[in-house]
Amino acid sequence: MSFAFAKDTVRKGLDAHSAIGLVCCALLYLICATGTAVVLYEEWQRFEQPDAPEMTSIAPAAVQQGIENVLAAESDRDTTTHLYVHMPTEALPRTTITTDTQAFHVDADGAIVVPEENAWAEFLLALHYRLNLPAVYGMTLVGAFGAMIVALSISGIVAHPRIFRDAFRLRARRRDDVATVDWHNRLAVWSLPFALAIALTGAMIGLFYVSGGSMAASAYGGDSEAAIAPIFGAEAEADLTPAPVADAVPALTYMAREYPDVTPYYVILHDPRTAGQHVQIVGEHERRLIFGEYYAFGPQGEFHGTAGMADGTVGQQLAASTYNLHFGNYGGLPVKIAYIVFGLALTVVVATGTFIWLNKRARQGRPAPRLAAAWWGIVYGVPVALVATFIARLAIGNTAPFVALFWSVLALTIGVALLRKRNSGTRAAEPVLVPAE
Amino acid sequence: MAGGGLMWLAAALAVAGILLLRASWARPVRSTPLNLCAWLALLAAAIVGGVEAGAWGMAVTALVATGAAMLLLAKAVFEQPRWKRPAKQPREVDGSGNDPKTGLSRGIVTFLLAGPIALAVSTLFALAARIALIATGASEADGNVAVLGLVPLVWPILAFALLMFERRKTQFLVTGAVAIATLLPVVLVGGQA
Repeated sequence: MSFAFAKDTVRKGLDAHSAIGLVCCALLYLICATGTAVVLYEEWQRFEQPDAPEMTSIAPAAVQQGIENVLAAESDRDTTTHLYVHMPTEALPRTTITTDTQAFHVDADGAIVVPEENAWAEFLLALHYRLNLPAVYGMTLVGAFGAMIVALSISGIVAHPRIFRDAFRLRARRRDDVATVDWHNRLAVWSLPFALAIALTGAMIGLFYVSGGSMAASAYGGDSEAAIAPIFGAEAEADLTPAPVADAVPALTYMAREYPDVTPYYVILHDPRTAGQHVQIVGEHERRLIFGEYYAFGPQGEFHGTAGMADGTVGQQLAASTYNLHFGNYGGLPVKIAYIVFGLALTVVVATGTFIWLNKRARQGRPAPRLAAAWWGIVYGVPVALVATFIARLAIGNTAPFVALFWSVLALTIGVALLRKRNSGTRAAEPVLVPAE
Repeated sequence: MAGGGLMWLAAALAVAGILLLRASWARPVRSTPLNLCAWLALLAAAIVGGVEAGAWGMAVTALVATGAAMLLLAKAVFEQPRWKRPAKQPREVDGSGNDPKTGLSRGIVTFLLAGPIALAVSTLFALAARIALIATGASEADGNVAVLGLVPLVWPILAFALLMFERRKTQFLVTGAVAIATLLPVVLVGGQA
C-alpha cells in the first residue's frame, strides 16, 4: 500500500511552500538562529558576569534578609509593585533579586553583592522574542512566523512526495544543488517533530496579543488578565495600606515540609510592604514539562493553595508546558544540547530553502544575483552580527548599544555582499549548473 | 537526563525504531514487516516514555529518536556519492506571459488573504470553539487555553489550504464560509458561554 498526493497537488503544494518560505525566510532565519543561541540563556548570564556569587542552595532566612536588604536599598523611591527572588538552580546557581527597576545578586547570607549585569543575554532574548520591537508588535510578528513554520511543515510534506522515502539519503559530498536540496529535505524531515513542537509553542506564546486579546475583548470586557486568570490564577485584591514586609521564611519552610519533592526556584512578593501583599512560590516539579506550580501564601506564610499548573485541568497543564517545551529547559544540559543541534538544523533548513529557490530560478534562466547576494549577506550576517554584539559586551561592558550594533552590522554585511556581487561582474551572476535528474 | 529504568527502555526502543527504519528504507524495495516493526518500536517508545513520565517522558523519547536519526544522517555526510550525474544546462526563458504588475497585485491579495484575513478567521474559529467547549461542559480554563492553542494551529492550516486553491473565487468562498460559520456563535453568544 502506498500513499501519494496527485501530481497537481504536489505542484500546488510546492508553490505554496515556496510562497510562504519566500515571504518569511529572512526573519524566520533570524528567529531560528537566535532561538538556537538563547537555549543557553542561563549559561550566557554566567559567562557575562563570572564574579557573581554562586551557591547550590540558600537558607530561607537568607532569602528574607536579601528581600529586606533590597527593599532598604530602594527606600529612596516608590516601593516596587513586585519583587522576584531567583533561587539557585542547576543551570543558574545564583540568588538574584529583581524589582520593578533593578536587580541585584546576593550572597548566601542575603547581603547585596553586585548589581545584575546580563544585558547581552537579555538583548539576545529580546531579539528572539520580539525582534527588539515593542512587545505587542514584536511578539505578534514572531508568533506569526512560528505559525508559518507549521504551514511550511505541512506544505513541505505535500510538496515532497519522496520526503519520507528518502529520509536517510544525504548526498552532501556532491557539493552541488542536489546536496543543497538533500540537506534541506533531510534535516527538515527529521527535525519535523521538534519544529512542530517549538513552532506551535512559540506561536502560542507570540500570538497571545491576538488570541488572548480577542478572547478578552469578546468575553471579558477587554480585560486580558481576567482572560488568563482561569488558567494561571488571578492576582489578589490590592490593599495599599502600609504594612511590615511579608515573611518568606514560613512559606519556604512550609514548602520544604509539605512538598519535599518540589524545588522552589522563584519567590515572588506581590505589593510588598502593603496590607494586600502576598507571597507566591514557583516550584519546579521533577520530570514534568510544566514550568512549575504557583504556591500562594499570605504575608505571614499561611498557605492559600496552588494555581493548578501541575494538577489542574488539561488546559492548564498544557499552557504551563509551552514555555519549557519551547525553550528546552526541562532536562538539563542533554536536552539543551539536543535543542541546539535541532535548532541549528532548523536554521539550515530555512537558509537552504531560499538557496534552492534561487538555484531553481537560475536553472530556469531567470537568475537573481542581487537577491542571492543579499541572502548570502543575511545568512552570514546574522551570526556575524551576534558575534559582534558579544565582542562589544566583552569590550565595552553591560552598557554597549547591542540593538543598534546588531542591526547595523547585519545591514553592513548585506551591503557588502551586494557590493561584492556588483564588483564581481557577470561571472557571479551566472546560474548554477545542476545535475540532470 | 534524569530517568528511571523505563526511560532507558523507551530510549532504547526509540533508537531501535530509527535503526529499523534505516534498514528498511535502505532496501531497493521496502520491507513491510521491517517498516511495521520500526513504527511499532517508535510507538512503544512513546508509550513507555509516557507511562513512565507522562508528557515529559514522551518529549524526551522524541528527542532521543530525533537524535538517533541525526546521527545516522551525520554518517551519511561522509559517504562518497556513488555517481555524479552530468550537469544540466540552464534553460533560456523569454519572460513572456509574466506581467509584473498583475503578479504583484495578485501576490498582495494572496498575502492579505492567507495572512491577516486568515488569522482573523482563525481567531473567530478559536473563539467559537471556546464557546462550544464551555457549552458542552469543559472548564473555563480549558476553553481559554483552546483559544490560545487553536489560533496558531488553525491559521497555518487555513493559510496553506487557501494557497492550494488556484481560483480567487474559491479562496474567498472558503474564507467567507469559515468566517460566517464561526462569527455567528461569537456574535450571538458573545463569548459568555
